[in-house]
Amino acid sequence: MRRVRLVIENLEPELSEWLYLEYSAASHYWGGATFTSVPPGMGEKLRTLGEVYTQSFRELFREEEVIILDPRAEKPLTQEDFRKARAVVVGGILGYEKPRGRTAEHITRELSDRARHLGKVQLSIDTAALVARLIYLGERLEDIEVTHEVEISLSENERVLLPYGYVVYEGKLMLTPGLVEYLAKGE
Amino acid sequence: MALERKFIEDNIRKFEVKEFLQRELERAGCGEIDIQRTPLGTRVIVHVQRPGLVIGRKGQAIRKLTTILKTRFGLDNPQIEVNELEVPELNPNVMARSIANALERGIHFRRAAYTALRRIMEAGARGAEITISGKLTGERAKTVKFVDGYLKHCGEPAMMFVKEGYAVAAPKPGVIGVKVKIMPPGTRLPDDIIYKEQPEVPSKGEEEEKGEIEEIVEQLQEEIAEEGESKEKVSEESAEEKKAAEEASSEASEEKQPEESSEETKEA
Repeated sequence: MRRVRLVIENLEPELSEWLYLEYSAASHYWGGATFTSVPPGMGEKLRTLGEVYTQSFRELFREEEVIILDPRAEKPLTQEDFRKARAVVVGGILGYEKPRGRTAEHITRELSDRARHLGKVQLSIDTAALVARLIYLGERLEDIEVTHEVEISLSENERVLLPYGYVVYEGKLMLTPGLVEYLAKGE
Repeated sequence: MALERKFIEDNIRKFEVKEFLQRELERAGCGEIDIQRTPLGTRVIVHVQRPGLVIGRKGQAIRKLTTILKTRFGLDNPQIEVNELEVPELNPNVMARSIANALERGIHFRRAAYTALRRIMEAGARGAEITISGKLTGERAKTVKFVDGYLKHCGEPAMMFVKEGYAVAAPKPGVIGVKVKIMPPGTRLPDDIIYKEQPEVPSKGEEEEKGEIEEIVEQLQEEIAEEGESKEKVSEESAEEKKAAEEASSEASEEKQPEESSEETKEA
């Protein structure tokens, strides 16, 4: 199979700590990533994680070379989709509790036939990258266990509920590394 | 009009009135609103933190509200009754609104929540839960729950005893929902067990107690002595019985022996 690279089309104006943690984990799962549509101020920190471009992925790849991960897509992602692709594109957006369809609005509007979904649950950026990686390596989407939400206990009186899907791989919850510590800080 | 439709319309109107009053009386710290239909008209009971703001100067504000209820919502002869909330900390709507106000002012969600939680618990609540949901720190949306004390979450006790309030804050990054649940003080749950206190026995003087103890000791000593004597008697009697039994057995053996010898002589 062709070597496929992970492309993260950034749609956030600032690189917050949470966003950086998710970008970092996504890049780790694919052994590096390409960040596109990165505003000038954000690029320096992202260069440690992979290639950084200020242009959109549309300017770097041809339409038929990409697969776009979009929860509103009609078709699910399969290993077959990777045969002709050179890049799998994930939207770099930190979502709301109820998805607003911003990936469809900003990324897949003109490329709807290249869009694939990863199930009905809203995934974090790194989880979407991980699920795509597992499918690329031969797993089937329906065999990948994904939680609907995660509840993290920070102290005796405080709990955080994340309304996003996270992969449970071999019985282990694949939470974004460093996220619990970040949430405990509560900044 | 079908009866069912009338019920639905009445309830929708009730809900609209409640929503309107909650919005109008936000500054007065609106807690609960009860709407009751009486033979004389509609009675609207408003529980607020600051009743003066609802009534207004010379009752101007309350009169204005009454006219609105009559004209806009078509309530039949509305009469507004204003009650002051005795402990506003135990009213979930008031607390949710105060947290939402704090979030709109830019206070950190954790600080706002813990302050409110402490106030609720200090007012004597058995338990409380504050849920804040939305883009709290301008990144991903999340839900944070702050809990203290004991709270029922499901079943009939949760419906009967836990009071719920809700408010919405609208800071710049996006809307934040605040939900407060309070289990008020003095709530008696079905699984609460109350032990009955045992009636107190009147205490005796030290000398009386000593005398009683001595008596008991003497009685015990006598009983032990009696037991010892009876045991001795029993052992003597058993010894005599044994002797008698031995003697009887020896006599019997002597009688047998001559018979055997006579048989032997016959054979010979």
